Parts: sequence; C-alpha cells; structure tokens
Amino acid sequence: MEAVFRTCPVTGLKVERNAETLIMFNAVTSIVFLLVGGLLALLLLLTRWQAVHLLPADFFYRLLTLHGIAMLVAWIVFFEMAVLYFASAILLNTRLSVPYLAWGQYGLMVVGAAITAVTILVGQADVMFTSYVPLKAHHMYYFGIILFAVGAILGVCVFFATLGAARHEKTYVGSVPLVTFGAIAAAIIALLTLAHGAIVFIPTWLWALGVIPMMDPEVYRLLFWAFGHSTQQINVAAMISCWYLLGTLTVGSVPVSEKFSRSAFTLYILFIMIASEHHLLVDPGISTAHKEWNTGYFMHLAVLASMMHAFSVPAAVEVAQRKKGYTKGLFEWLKRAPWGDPGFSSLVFSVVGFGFLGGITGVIYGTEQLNIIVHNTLRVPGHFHATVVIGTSMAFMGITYYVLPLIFRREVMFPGIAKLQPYVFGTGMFVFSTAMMFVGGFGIPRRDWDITGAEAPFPVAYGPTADLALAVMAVGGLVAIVGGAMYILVAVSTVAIGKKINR
Amino acid sequence: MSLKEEHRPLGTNALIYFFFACLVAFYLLNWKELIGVWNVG
Repeated sequence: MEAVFRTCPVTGLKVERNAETLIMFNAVTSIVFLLVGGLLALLLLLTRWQAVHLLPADFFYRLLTLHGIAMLVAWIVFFEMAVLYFASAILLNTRLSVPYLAWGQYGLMVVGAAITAVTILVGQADVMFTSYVPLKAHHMYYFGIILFAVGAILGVCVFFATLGAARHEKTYVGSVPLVTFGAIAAAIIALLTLAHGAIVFIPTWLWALGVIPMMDPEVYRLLFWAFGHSTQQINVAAMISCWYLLGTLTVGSVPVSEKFSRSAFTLYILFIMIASEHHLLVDPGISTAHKEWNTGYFMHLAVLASMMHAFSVPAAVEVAQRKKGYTKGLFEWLKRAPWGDPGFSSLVFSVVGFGFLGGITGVIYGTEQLNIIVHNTLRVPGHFHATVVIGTSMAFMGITYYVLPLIFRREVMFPGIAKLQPYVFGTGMFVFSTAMMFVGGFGIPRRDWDITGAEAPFPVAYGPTADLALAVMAVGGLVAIVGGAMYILVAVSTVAIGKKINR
Repeated sequence: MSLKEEHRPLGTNALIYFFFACLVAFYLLNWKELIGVWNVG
C-alpha cells in the first residue's frame, strides 16, 4: 500500500490516507459499541431503580456482562487504537507502518468483539465482566476476548513501528511531542496488560474446552486484575494525552513543563499496574503485607502522577489564556474560557470528574481499612463511572469534535446540540455517580439484581433515604443517557451526511 | 518555560492550595472515625 498524503490547511498536519482510513474505521466502530453499551445502560438503570425494576434476573446479569464488555473494553479500546494511529502517523507527519497489520488489528478486534457479544446475548456467558472462575462461560466467550486482545497487540505493534519509521525518516525534530509520549506510555501499559490478558484467558479458554481440569480462583483473580484494571490504566494514559491535545486545540496551550508532564507519564508506566491489586484487598489468599505494599505505597505513586497531570493541564490552559490578555484577578482566564466549545467543556468535565470525583474516591476506596466497608457495594461502580465515563469517555467525546473536521473532513452537524452535549452528559453523570456512591454508603450491593432485598427471604431495611438516592441516581443516569444520545446523533450524522469540507 | 509575572498560573496555584486544605480538613475532622475502622476484623 503506497503512502498518499494530504496536508490540512488549518493545522498544517500531513494526513496519510491509510492512517486516516484506519482512524475512521476504529472511531466509527467504537461509537457503535458506545451506542450498544448506552442502550444496555438504559435497561440496566431502569432495573436498578427499584420502583421500575424492569428486567428479569437472568437478563439483568446477561446485559450487565455485555454492558461491561461493550463500554469498558470495546468502545474504549477501539477509540484508543484511533488515538494511537493519530498520535503516531498524524502528529509525527509520517506514514502508517505496516498498514496490512493495522487492518489485521481492526479485523481481529471486530470479529473477537462480535463473537464475545453474541455468546453473551445467546445466554452462554452470564459471568459478568470479571468472569471469576469457577463461573464458567462458553469457550467462545474467552476465544472472542483472546482474538480481541491479539488484535489490540497488533495495533500497538503498528504504533511502535510507525514511531520507528518517523524517527528513521526524520519527520520530526528533537523529542516526540508530549501527546505522542503519553500515547507511548499508554502503548507500553497496553502491551503489559494484554500479556496478562493472554496469561489469564488462554488457560481459562482451555479450561472451558475441557483441556485443563481446573483453574485456581485466587490465581485467576490476581492475573485477571493485572489485565482488567490495567485496561483502565491504558485509558488513563490515553485520556491524559487527550487532555493535553484538547488544551492545545481549544485555547492553544503548551505544557508549562514538559519534563514535569513526561515524568508523570513515566510514573504511570512504573507503578500503575501494581496498583491493580486494590481489587483484591478482601481476598484472604494474599498476605496483608503484599496488599499493603501494592496499594498503600506503589498505588500512591501512580496517583501522584494523576495529580501532577490534573494540575499541569489547568496550569497550561491558564498560561495560554493569560497570554491572550485575560490577566485580571485569579480567575478571569477561566471566566473568559471558550465554554461554548464542546472540546473545552468536555476537557473541564473530564479533568474535574476524573480528578476530584473518581480519583479521590478511588484513593479512599483503595485503602485497605476502608475497602473492607465499601467492597462490593454500589460505591465502587459509582467511583469507576466517574473515572471511566466522566473522565475517559468525556475526553474522547471532546476529541471527536476535532477529529470530525480533521479526519472525516466534514462540518460538525447540529452545532447547538454539540455545544450543549458535554453539559447534559457531564451533569447527568456527576449526579449519577455521586448518588451511586451515596447509596453504596448504605451497604447496597453492586451487581445484584435485587439490590434493596425486596424479594429476600428475610427483611432488609435500607430506609427511605436509600430509595430516594436510588431514584436520584436513576434520574441522573437518564439525563446522562440523553447526553450520550446527543453525542451519537452529532457524530453519526456528521460522518453520514455532514457537509464535506474541501481541503 | 520562563513566564512573565502576569502570565504565571496563579489561579491554578490557588486551586491546588484549596484542594490540599480540603484534604487536610477531611483528615482533621474524621481522624477518630478513620482510626476506628481498624477495629473491623
């Protein structure tokens, strides 16, 4: 495949056709999975709301499994593939290396995700996202995940090969840009994560096929979380790369200190995988000393990295705004920021939601003493909806408003809806996550179809406050679903029928 | 990056101090309960 380039007259970036096409395919597929996951979210939310309690138990667990796979894995990893190709080929003004391999990535991930989704939908894998053994799904469920992971590994290899080609062909001067550096951190974490995915899912697949007689649940859980949580750390590194990119695209910011930001990314690579052990704080098979070292010390070095970014990005935005003349008082720069730009408002929601709602609660719940109280309650999904949905998803949504004109070369449709979308989605998700954590404080369990014990054989009284908070959570979730639908409407309409930009 | 005086990110700096003040206040106000958690198990 010969490399063919065009130059964007606005950004000056050289866009290679293979990279452009693969970014388009990965981005569109990710939005399809977001749509699937969003529809499932609606059904699950109306079941969680005990006043409605929509789905029967078996469907609830089935759809919750698919919701986890569609949102935590498919939507995010497909989008990350687009981010990796963008951060390498586009930002470094080079061609995408080994495009055949990149198409292999896309094909394997689509086939793998489809196999897994169908296996869940036909009722052969009601095992939830974690699929803890000895719960056993149909072997095709694990096979689909393995194909998906192999595809993602190919994508990461293409990313590194593209970086090598750019360096060899001298398409950039000095170090790679910070956004690409962040993507490298994400890709390194991805390789380690996917290796753990292979270590845990290949034996489980063989066990489901009957080749291996048994699986050790403790070992499974330890290895699963090296994959399951670390997948979210790829998201974190990719999301923060998007924060820096959005800062540049929306207000023209440059990092206040490149060294500071690059050091923070390095801390992620070194410590964030070890931090995954906070999922196992109540597991009796792992020693207290081991858990303490991982979650009491190493985890905080990864958290330190997030805090460094969470202050470095606003500082870069502030400096850029002050240079434009908004120097009055402490916060004129913030008041005069481009709040009508969906890229900017998404950035702010993402930083505040990830840092101050998801991040702080994550640190608190990951403390051994407190984890014994919050473990397996709704506090935990409340926390990770703040990190993954408000944090990662909103950063990716914000980037979409810039990817549409640059890569798809189409004018964003319904600009009024696009302007409002981050506010509707962000506000809904803030209410949803906060209320979810609040009801978790009453001891209401996660993952349970009958969360208030209405049909329990003995009376469980959570009290009217918990019922009210569940209703608030449901209303917040419904608002967020409207915000998600607005995003999909704008993105899909723009891609399908948006006015072409002639560049 | 060397910045002119009027371009320094003072607002972000104020937010950082506010954040840490909240963190310290959380531990000051809840230290008895946090230590009490140790009794579990």
